[in-house]
Amino acid sequence: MRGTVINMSDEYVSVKIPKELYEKAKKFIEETGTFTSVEEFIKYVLEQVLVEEEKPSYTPEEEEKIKERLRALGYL
Amino acid sequence: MTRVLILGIDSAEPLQIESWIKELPTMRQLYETYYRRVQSTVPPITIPAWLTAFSGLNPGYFGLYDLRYRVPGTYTDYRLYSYRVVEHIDFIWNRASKRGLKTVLCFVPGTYPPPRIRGYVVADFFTPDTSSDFTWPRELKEEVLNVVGGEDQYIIDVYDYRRIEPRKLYRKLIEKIEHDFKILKYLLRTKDWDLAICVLMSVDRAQHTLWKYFDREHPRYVEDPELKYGLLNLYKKIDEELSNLVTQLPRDTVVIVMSDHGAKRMYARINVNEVLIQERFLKLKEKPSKPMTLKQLDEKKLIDWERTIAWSWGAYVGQVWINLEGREPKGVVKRSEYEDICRQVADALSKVRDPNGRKLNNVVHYKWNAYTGPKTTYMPDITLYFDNLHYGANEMVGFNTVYSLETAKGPDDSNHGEYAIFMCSEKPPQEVGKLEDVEKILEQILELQPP
Repeated sequence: MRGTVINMSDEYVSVKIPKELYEKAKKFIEETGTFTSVEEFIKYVLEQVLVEEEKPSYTPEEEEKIKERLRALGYL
Repeated sequence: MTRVLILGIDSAEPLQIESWIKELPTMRQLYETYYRRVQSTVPPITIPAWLTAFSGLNPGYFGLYDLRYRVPGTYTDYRLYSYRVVEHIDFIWNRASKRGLKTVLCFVPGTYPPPRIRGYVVADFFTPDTSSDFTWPRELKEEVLNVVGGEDQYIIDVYDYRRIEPRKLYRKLIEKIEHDFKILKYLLRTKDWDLAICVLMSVDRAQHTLWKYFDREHPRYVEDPELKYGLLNLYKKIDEELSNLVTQLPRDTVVIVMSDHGAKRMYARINVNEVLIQERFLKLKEKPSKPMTLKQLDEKKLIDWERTIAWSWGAYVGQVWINLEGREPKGVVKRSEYEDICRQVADALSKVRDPNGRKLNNVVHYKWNAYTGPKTTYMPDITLYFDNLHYGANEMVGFNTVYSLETAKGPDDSNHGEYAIFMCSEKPPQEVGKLEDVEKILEQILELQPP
């Protein structure tokens, strides 16, 4: 299990969180096995909260591919 | 700890299974232990039906009634379904993860983008293409592609079934079954798991074009000595693969075979908006010169929304919305009149007869009876099963007739049916009468706490 890593690249910043919260997050991912690190877990939670309400899941190109298939299947 | 394997056969119809079970030796063992016809959701459509089976929740909890959903505050804009719409729901795989159990999900409708569960996911036919992240964990994708012989051998779906010559289609669907079992067997052999769910789409895809070859009562019945066994042979192929798979399973595995909805012969489609125009519930400013979708009519500003009472969507069932004040952009129906108007619209649509004037067994589902849950408000106000699903629906306008076969949606040999199948290798802890019950019995077999 990795701890909080300070990455000095342009794409990442470090954020301080209370140790107690960190330990809780660590315990959660150990118990559920759904994430490989606390960073990955925190990134996921933040994305869920900050993502716009409609949460687009597909790029326009991907959406067109799926629509074409659904049209062929008779749904659209 | 008991393990559970669920093999889903999308669209497997109880009447077909009951008449062919003697030719399906592996499924027959389950069938003779426990078999029920199970009530599907309203509507009996893949996404809401499977999501209901694996959450135990009414579709009103998801606000989903199709593979797409209307954008609130618009009349004809829609978004495609994605797992993000339902990721707050406590599905059986989330509950299993919380209890430390591992789940394998293979092609389960509604699982793209793949949920991050404790276990392994290969997403469903909403996967845009093989460059997408369609597995969880992401690294699993490489393994899955290797299992089938590379990226170009991976089959997301057999979707262009209306354009493929029937024999070629049949071969592609057999290939797809082999492909899916190859991946499922690999995952069950190489990974730790407590619950595994795999859903095969081949039977659903076949029924839309192969139904007319075995059903002598079908209006477009075609005598074909080879294809009359096409659908049965797909079931036989599944049974053979299942037979091979169960010999590899740990002895304590409970095996379930189930579907989400059934299927029945389709006579024609009802052009629901044409009926609503005739009955003066849908008002156009101008009639289109050629058949158009509702969205095309709306974009050309041909719909007089300020005078419209109701409009419809849907390919397999009629999904009707009331132009309700305060909910729709130009709503005209007052809330105090809502139920009354719903009944008037439903009555008018229920009176539709067949092209020869024969009475049809049209079934009406009102929103307030069919749905519970926080997203009930997004569900259609009225859902119509024309001739109890022997007739499909079409939203297009401009045919100047109520009946349609050669439409943009193409001819379909079969519609969806309101019953699904459920069979199990042991008697489940409680009766399974409707799809919601499936989650409840899984919870008990896997010894999970109730939500």
